[in-house]
Amino acid sequence: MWFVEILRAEYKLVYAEMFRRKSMLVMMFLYPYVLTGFTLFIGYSFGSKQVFVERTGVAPEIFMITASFIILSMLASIDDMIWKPLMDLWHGTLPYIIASPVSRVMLYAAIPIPRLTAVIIIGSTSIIPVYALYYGLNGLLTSLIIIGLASLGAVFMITPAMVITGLVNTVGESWRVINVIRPVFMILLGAYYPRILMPIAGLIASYALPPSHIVELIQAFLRNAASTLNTLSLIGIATALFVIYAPGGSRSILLWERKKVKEGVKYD
Amino acid sequence: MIRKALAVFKAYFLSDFVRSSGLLYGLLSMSMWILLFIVPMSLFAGPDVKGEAFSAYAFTAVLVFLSYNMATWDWAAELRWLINRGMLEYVIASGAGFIPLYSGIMPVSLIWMGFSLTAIYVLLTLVMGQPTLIVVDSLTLAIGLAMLIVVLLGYALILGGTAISTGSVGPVMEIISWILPIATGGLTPLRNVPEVLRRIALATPFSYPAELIRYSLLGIKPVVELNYAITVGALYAGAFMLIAIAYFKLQIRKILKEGIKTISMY
Repeated sequence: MWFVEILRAEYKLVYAEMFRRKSMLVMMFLYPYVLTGFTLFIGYSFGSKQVFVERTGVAPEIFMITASFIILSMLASIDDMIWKPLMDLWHGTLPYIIASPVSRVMLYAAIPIPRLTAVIIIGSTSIIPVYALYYGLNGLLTSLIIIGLASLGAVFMITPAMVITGLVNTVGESWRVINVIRPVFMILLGAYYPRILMPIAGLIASYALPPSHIVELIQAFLRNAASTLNTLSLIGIATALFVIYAPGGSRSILLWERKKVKEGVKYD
Repeated sequence: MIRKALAVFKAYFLSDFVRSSGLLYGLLSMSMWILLFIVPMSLFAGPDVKGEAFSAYAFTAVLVFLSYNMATWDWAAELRWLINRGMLEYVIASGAGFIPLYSGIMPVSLIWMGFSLTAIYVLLTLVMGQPTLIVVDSLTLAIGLAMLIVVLLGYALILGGTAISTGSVGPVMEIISWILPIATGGLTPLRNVPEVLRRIALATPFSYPAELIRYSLLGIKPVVELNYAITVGALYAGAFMLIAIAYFKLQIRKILKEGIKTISMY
């Protein structure tokens, strides 16, 4: 089965699911605002906008809606891949997937791509209106660039997510481990708390994550501090990391697959 | 009934805390999510705000937020899990009712809450500085906590009742669990919120216990007079609980008549 065919099947699945579950669709619209409201509400109740702007160089409303959009975009596109082996196990479909002639590596690489549509949906209902309100027509252009960059960031997350998916499911098949890893990823992205302000250990770990470079670029862009050199170097580093993780991602998925073939599918 | 409650307690305790190192992973996961949202708040704090004061503030906000979450996910959503596992019919058919079930679950939730707060305290101490929590008024604290439990039980009954009778799904609960603490003044002192929001919060029974807890731990005076907050809050909590019980019973009668609605798995 060719990659394109897998991709087409995934697209059909994602759209059917997206429009069938209206509550999920509504959540996509609401969540960036809820998270932004949550952070702004607490932040403003004991701090000040002035301090925030001095530290980040961006208005809190813009910073937080962008951060919420980035986090949700990452979750929307990558989460399904990380959870897929467990979901298939719980649904009882894993033996059929393992037995099917489809390459598991191609399947897992294809999963996030249709979900990138969610990035555009989330962006068009969150940052586009807020940016337009703040910056007028210029805001529209800025938000389109940010949506493009966030999509790129989500693509760059595919290979490290494949490494994690294979390893976690090979070692323990534990949803608990995944639930620890997800927020750690989100912290290391530096979307809510710029990585430049992180302690050194956090900074190093953040540098190892390809999309964190894109997040830094987005934040520089919002501060009007993204020079051509800066932009190219950050995208270049992220691309290099994406490529570096690719063989590991493939091996990790194959390792998990081999384990399943050898030991069979165990039900908890 | 005690025997049944103990059996439930043992089953949930082993499942949540002992098996698969659930406690450790659960605490780690929760700490990371809290860290993700709490640390950015420090970007708003000026040099005059001490780390310890910020920690204390964050700790009380997390305390109230986790309490709401406990009511949403441990108590209300439990009814939905029972449907998903095909167990709700058996619970009803057994004739034991929901009291033994919840008598077993609630201590597990409270133990979990204790562990969570300890983990958050340690985390805040490491990241921001030790939270400067001083019990200003222990009696008010006890009243506030008791009131909070009553209000949350009422809320769980209404949310759980709605979930079983309408087939309401997880996303709705997720949104509620974020919006409710904000809208009802659970996260920040009502003194610091805009007038409109303050009025909305005071119209709900949730705001009174939250204000009392903040007063007794942080010394921040409630927006209404203390005795008024205690009296009105207690009456409101009691009335809310009675309405919630009546509503829940009505929903049970409804599903006994109409059957349980098919709901999405997640």
